[in-house]
Amino acid sequence: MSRNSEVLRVKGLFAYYDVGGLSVRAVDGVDLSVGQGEIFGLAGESGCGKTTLMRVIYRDITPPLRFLSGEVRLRVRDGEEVDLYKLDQQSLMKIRTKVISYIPQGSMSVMNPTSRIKNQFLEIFQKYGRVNKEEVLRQVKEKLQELGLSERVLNSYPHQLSGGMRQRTVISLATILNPSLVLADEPTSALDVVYQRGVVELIQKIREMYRTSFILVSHDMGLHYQATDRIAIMYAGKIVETGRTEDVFKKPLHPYSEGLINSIPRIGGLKQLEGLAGLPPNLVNPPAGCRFHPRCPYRMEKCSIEEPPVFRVGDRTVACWLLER
Amino acid sequence: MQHDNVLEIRDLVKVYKSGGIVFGKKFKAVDNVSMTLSNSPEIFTIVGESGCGKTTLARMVLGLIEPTSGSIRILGRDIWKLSAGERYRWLPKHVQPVFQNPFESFNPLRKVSTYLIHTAKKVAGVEDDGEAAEIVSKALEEVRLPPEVADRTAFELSGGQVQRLSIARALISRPRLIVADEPVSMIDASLRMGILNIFKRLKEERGISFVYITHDLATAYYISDRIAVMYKGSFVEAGEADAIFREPLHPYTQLLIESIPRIDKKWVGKAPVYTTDIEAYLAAGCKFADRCPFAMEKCRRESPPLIRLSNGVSVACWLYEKPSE
Amino acid sequence: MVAIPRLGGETIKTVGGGLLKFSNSFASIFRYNRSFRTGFILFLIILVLGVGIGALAPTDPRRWYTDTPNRPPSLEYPLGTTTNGQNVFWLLTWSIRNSLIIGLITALVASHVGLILGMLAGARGGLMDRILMTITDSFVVIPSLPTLILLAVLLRDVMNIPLMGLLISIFSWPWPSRQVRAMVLSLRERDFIATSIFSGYGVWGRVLRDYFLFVLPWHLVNATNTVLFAISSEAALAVLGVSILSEATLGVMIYWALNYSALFRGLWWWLMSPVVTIILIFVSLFLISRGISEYSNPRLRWQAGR
Repeated sequence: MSRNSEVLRVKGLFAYYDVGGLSVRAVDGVDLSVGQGEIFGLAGESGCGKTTLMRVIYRDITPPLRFLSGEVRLRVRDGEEVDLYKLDQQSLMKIRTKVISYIPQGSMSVMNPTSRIKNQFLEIFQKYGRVNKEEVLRQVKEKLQELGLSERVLNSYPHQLSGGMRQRTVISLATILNPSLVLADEPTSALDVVYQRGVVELIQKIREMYRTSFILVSHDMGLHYQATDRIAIMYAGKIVETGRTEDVFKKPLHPYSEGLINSIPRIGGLKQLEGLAGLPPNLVNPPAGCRFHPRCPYRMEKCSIEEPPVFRVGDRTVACWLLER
Repeated sequence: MQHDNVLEIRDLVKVYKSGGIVFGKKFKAVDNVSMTLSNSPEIFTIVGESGCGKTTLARMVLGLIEPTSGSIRILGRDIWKLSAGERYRWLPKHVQPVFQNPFESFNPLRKVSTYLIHTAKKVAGVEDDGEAAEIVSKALEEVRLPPEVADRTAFELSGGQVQRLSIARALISRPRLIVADEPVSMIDASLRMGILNIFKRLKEERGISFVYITHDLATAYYISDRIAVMYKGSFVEAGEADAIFREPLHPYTQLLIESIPRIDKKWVGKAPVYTTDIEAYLAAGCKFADRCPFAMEKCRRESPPLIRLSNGVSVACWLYEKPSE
Repeated sequence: MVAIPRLGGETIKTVGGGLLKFSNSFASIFRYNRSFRTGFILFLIILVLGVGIGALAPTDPRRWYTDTPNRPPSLEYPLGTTTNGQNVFWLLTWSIRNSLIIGLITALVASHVGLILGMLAGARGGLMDRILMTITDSFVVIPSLPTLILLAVLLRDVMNIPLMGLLISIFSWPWPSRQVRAMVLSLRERDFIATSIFSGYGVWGRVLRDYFLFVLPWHLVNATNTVLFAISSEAALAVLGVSILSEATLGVMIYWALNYSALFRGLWWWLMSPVVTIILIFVSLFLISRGISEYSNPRLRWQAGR
């Protein structure tokens, strides 16, 4: 992908949790990049570090989380990039919500229950200076209309809306200032299947209309297949495979991806699936060499000794010794 | 006794009142549900979105919530005609639960083994300590767990392990029926198959029937013999799982199946949009009418009964009304 | 009805195990929590003063005219003497002991009655719950201070230190009973209670093995606070003149000091001794109960430990 169309580039990111004198290696050397107008999926199971990775990219670092090293380069405007970790607090505040926006997990449950939706929109604008209320509301109504959401939402309180409606409101709030990149952590996991689809459609619509990029974090592989263009699979603090979503699903290259995808039941599919053996590893003391080797059906000697580098296969990357050729 | 049905539910209703004494509204969480599980072991799945009443139904079968009307017979006995003491003594010998959140299933301040041993002694009626330990370790073998695992508190283990412990505990009293409420929803995708395979094996080798409650149609497809689709308190379609998946009849079932995020085929068309919830519970007519693409005049006036069609599937929908009626 | 639990092997094992865990927890809180440690040491000092040292008093400090009246603190009279010729120091030690006894009795009786009734009402529900709550609420509604005053006056002839403790207990048990019941009600909805039911645990089994463990930290804090409550209730009664005026308690000391206008007449040591002592007891018990709260609430524990 050409440099010009990249919105985010993460290099060598390391961030650990300090708990009881030990270090939990939640983000242990992550590289990735997201293009403009791309919906990028970050997949992985519980404890793999994907939520932490989102926080680190957004620079939401509070103890016990500690940033060790790495770069998070964000494109602020044409031709200009900044490393979020080299900014001072003020510049960082300016960028948040305007250029990069973050929707944490479960955010639809934490909207202020005593404040009408329209006030929550106003608050966002007010953070950036004095505002003309009517002007702001007009802009907001226009945007909601473009997105196919009803104006009635503005005068409602959060509890008056259904789960799906609330989540779509949260997404609208996060994108109202037209950021280039939105980080959405499990945007649909609390929703029923039918609502889920509505949320995905909204995200795709925003992408089409404003060329906004998204990073979608989810443990739901089905969601990734439906919603994302490219996908990165995370295991034990590292990214083990990336590539175009369709390619990865059709032919996963990393044994973990393969195991993960094959353990998903399909309607009309096999009724005899196995799933993966073993348990996800301890991030304080991860296995030597390749972190997946204790559970890998294809493991070789080398795998328990040396960590595999990232191999490139066309426009895909895989961190597995099987690819060494 | 051997010829009694394992579970027989007739016209079960549960009404909740919301609001105050004077202006309170009633709503039927479970609205006239009937079903039978015969002597031959099977896995009966109840599928529905959150709030459809499936958990309330499960808790009534488990003797934890009292029905407003209707009957629940287990092995011929109407469990709600028993006194609380009798029910709590008799029921665990024949029906056992598996709950959704493995970490809520056991008291975090106790070792899991205390539950297992107590079940062996008080429910299975084993007097001897040695024999009790035997039974416990056999149950652990069934769920493929090493015996030391039980000697911990739930929080020291992984979700998948604790859920297996839940199942092991449920097995100890040799029940005829296990009611599992979303047992794998909180487990990682790659570990779900392991647990669902245990259910299948228990049905085939131990003759245990399951009522499997879920919102996930894919896992429902994977293990069900029969399935009932629940919407706002009632069954809208019920019958052999394969038949229903092959050719879903009720518009709601069709909507659910279409909305599943599959990993082999992308969604087609737009997601449906819809409104509020509580009003629909109280309206006359079919509860699905306001969301149904095929809604007719009759649907808004009268609520369709569950009719059994010639192919064995039951549907509650005016589209399938026999012309002579 | 409810079966009384048989004190069989299972229960003894549980209680024994519980005591062991308790002493381990105590050692642990003492080591790691500064608040608890400070409070406990302070309380220990006061306790030793009241019980240990108080036993060494040369004469019964309650008797009048054992020493020269109105003497300020000096080497001979460490805390001075009262207008009635009592040695304030020795009087204080006996008062500490008696006030603590009252506090202890109230804490033992009221908070445990409240605990047991609350757990029973919450766990059982139904008729038992309704009966217990009706009784509890009736006590809540009765105004406590006027009734206590009335009872104190009526029982004046037979009143002694332990009886005072019991008297104050009468109005101290309803509140914990309601609190505990509320905690149990919310615990009851949790899945692990259903797991207990399906594992063959009856009401008492669930009370002892599930509810009790969760309620225990709260109960310890409440018991500690009840001691405070009892001491101050007795002081209130004393200041109003309806406590046991011939006895030595912190409240009664204050009564007599006020009665003789001690402060006005410059005999500050007579009033200040019991007042400062009550404050120190309060502070020490507060620190202890805060320490227990911090210890049992993991988040607070993390904050305290940093």
